[in-house]
Amino acid sequence: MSKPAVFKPWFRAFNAHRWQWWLGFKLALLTVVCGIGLLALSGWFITASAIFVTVNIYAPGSGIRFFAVTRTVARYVERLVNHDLVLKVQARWRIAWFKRFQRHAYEGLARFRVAQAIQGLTRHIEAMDNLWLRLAMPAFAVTAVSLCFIVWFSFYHWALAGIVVVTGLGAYWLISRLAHYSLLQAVKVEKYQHRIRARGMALTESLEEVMAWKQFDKQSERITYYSRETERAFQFEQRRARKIKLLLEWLTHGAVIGIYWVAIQLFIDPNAQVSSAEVVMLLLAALAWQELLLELPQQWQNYGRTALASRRLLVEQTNSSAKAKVVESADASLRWDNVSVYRQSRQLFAPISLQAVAGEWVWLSAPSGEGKSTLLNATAGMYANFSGKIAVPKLSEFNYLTQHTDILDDTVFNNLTLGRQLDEQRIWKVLEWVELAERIRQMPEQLNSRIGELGIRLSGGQYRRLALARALLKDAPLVILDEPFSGLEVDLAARITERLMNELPLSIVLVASHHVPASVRAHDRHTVIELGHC
Amino acid sequence: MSDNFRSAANYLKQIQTVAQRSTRRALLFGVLQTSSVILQLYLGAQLAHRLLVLKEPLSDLTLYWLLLAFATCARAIMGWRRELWQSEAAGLALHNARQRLLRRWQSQCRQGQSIDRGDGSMLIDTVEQLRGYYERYFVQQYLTVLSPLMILVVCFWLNPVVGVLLLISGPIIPLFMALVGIGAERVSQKHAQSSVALSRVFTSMLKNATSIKLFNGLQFANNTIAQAGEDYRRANMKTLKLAFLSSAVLEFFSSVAIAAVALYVGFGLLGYINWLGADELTLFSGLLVLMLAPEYFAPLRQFAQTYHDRAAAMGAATLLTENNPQDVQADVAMTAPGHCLATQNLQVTITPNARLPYPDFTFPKGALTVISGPSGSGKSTLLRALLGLQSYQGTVLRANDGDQPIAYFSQQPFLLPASIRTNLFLYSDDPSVDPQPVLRRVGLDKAIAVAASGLDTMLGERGAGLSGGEQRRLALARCLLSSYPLIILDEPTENLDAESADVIRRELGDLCKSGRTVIVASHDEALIALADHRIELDGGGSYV
Repeated sequence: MSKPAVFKPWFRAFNAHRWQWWLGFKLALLTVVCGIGLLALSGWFITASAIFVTVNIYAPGSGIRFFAVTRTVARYVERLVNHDLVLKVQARWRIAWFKRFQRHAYEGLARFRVAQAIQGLTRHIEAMDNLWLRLAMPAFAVTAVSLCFIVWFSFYHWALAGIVVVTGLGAYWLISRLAHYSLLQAVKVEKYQHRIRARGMALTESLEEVMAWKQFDKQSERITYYSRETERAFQFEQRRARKIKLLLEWLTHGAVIGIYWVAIQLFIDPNAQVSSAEVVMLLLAALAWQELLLELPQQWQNYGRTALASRRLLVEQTNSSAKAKVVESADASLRWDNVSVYRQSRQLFAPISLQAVAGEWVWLSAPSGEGKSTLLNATAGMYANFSGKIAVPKLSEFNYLTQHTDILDDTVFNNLTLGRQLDEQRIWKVLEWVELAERIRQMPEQLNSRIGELGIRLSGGQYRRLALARALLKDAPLVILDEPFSGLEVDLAARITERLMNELPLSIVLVASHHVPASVRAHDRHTVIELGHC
Repeated sequence: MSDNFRSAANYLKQIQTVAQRSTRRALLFGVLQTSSVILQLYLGAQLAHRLLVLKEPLSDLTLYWLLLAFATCARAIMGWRRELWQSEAAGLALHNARQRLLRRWQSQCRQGQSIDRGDGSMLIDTVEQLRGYYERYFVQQYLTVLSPLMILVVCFWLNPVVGVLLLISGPIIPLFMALVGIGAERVSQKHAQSSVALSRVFTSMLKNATSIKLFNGLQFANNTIAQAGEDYRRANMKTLKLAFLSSAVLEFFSSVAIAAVALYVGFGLLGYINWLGADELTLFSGLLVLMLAPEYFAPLRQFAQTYHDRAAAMGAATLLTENNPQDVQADVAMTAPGHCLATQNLQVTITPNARLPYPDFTFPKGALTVISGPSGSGKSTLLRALLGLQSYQGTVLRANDGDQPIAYFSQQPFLLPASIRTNLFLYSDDPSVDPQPVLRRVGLDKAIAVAASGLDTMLGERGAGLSGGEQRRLALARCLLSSYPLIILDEPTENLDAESADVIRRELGDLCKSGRTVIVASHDEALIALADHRIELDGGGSYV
């Protein structure tokens, strides 16, 4: 990915706040100019006092005071404006990212249940505030100031301006080299760190086994070795960056000495009419400008991390949904014709066939990991790697309860509706079906009570029933439930099943469960399918 | 709270000891760097004075120009070397931190403290937070005193009034910053809360993305994230307003000090002030003092910038400090032949205040012992004590070869996202053994032969690619491949398909026939029926 392209989405977000970054830039420029002015004017004043006979003290005196105060105020406001801007851009970008993320295939979405992936994501988004604060804005400010210097110095002598031009170009080249190296370093370091992280997590997850098998020393030795390697790689990459910083220091200091020398020549030359005070002013202005330039390497060392973070964030979005081959059946039934599901190229169970109509229940029974969930995913059009034909009553009109209980840190109402328009009566009715109505009525704010980590803690079984209720709030011709009763007592599960049998006469209910209630097996409206090995 | 603080600070100090040599060198070069700066500015001021005031010819001053060039080169080189040593110090310190973390996990495991799966990433994520501290803050805190001190001495030599001015403004600035900082602390706590809230909302939306997508809740999710983002921004800006205020104080005082120096020197040179050495001011001394003033404040500014390195490191250190390691029981080798293990007066520590007592047990050699009992009766806890993974009081006696590794089959056997072969030999010291006979015995040979690359087929996270039964059989194969005399298993047949469970039961029986001792915790009736010895726990524990 080329350098500017990686940052394009961010620039678009910045553009939405044009006036703010323009203001921030102007304030930064003002700060810098005041800083340079303070030093240069002070130098002029001191030299004039030492050499001239009469000096108007009021103008330079107030000028110095003005620069000192304005610099402080401008800097303060500038930092506020720029940080506020960055927060707004981040917020905007977070939403844009989430929108694109939603378009993923369902397998991609599940990956973010892992804390690691989320940590990495938030880390990358935070790294992006470097883009404006440490990369773009300092560079803009320094470039603008250098242009001002070129103009100003050219009033004195072309050589002075020439020195600034040459130094500026040299600095530009060195900084771009630095940015390039910092990206190489960031990539390498990320690879090494990933290795240690993976090994570390493997160790902590299997720590008991490792200790029992007395393998701890061997495993920790390996991690120690990688740790040493990582630090060595880190140092090596930093060396290049530091050499560039050294060259830049020599370049800019040399420029200052050069400017000093030319200024003195101008002073000595009777034709030039440059006073001694102006010599010192030029010297100190050059010193202040050089200090500015030397801030750039430290800021631009962040380029690598930032570009990498941006790359990672964009990569998360390139997967698109796999097209699933589920069709609509002619007679509003659920049909499986010799369907078997594959994980990569491995067939998970012997092909099965089925036909079910409204009011019938299909129970899939098999131990965990044998392909039940995958078959349900395929039926819902979320998974494409299957053989045979699947036909559903109506495409995209189904209720799905995932095996993993998805609960938001939010109110009960939001958890149930997820933004859908549903009337409260229906909600309470469904809550009665899963025997949660009483519990929720007891809550201080009932449906508007917060649950989850920050709110009321419910038991695992209660969360599960809540998720089940969510899946039943709307009528649909096909209801898919993946292990709906996991974590529930057997008699509670049986009661809920009884109720649902009566309340869902128009739906085909497809249930995956490793435990099928005994009362169901003999029922004629229930089909039990055991997934067999192939 | 302050206990935490102290132990974190101690931790940081201890980690640093390996990097002392590098730190000292960095300090040395830092001091040399400041000396070069002083020399450089001295020569610049001398040149100005001699050329502009004394009007000496340029040719007489070539030496000054050369020395100026030399001092400039030296300054850059000293800075370069200093950063090199700082960086190396950080590398050594972080490596040390990682090693200590590994040792801490080992001792935590021995005491039976559970370690979260995600803790493994602390090796990178938490330890990296220390880098800024050791690379920048640690040396900077000394240089922030040394460099200004050197400059102060020079300034006093040039002009006492300026010296006093700088001396006063030096300490005043941190004082004012601290006052502002105290207010910032309170606000930053609020900010930390809203930061956590935003992270929580975002994380929640990500984790539940499947359901959100299934129920077309995208708009709802976006609105929630947007709202949380806005709250975060507001809280963040409140904190920043105060945080920036403290650094604005620094900027203000340093700018004012420079302005004051300039005005004082100017008025002194003009003759408006003639007390306390003002009449001795020359262009040289005045200019030098003016150029030194920003250099006086520069380390302080750098120090302020690195302060959040310290905060991050303290945060990391509280996570990394070791708790007081308790002494782990050393076992007495036992003498009774025919027994592989035995317990005496065993009381296993569950929480610091609660211990679970067990009656005395013996585990005969070469026999299959099944520990059974209702859930919660302490089967797993007993196993963990036998494995040395939980602290206890009393004794666990082992046979003479008792320091051998134990082939352990845990409730959730660990599988790496690597090849099947790697997983088979995960805990083995001898990867050259042919696994085929063992695979045939556990019935995995066909499944592996059919797989894409046979033994080299890559598994996914948590063994994805093998069914639950196959994963357990692979873990059993691990135990069979090893030759350790003791095998301990925790619920090996739970939630398993009938075929896999049969294989496991059969193999466990065979293992004993070949002379190895097998201890199993299980409520599987069929397995209990195969047992040579049976231990029934019922909360009170009794031997059957």
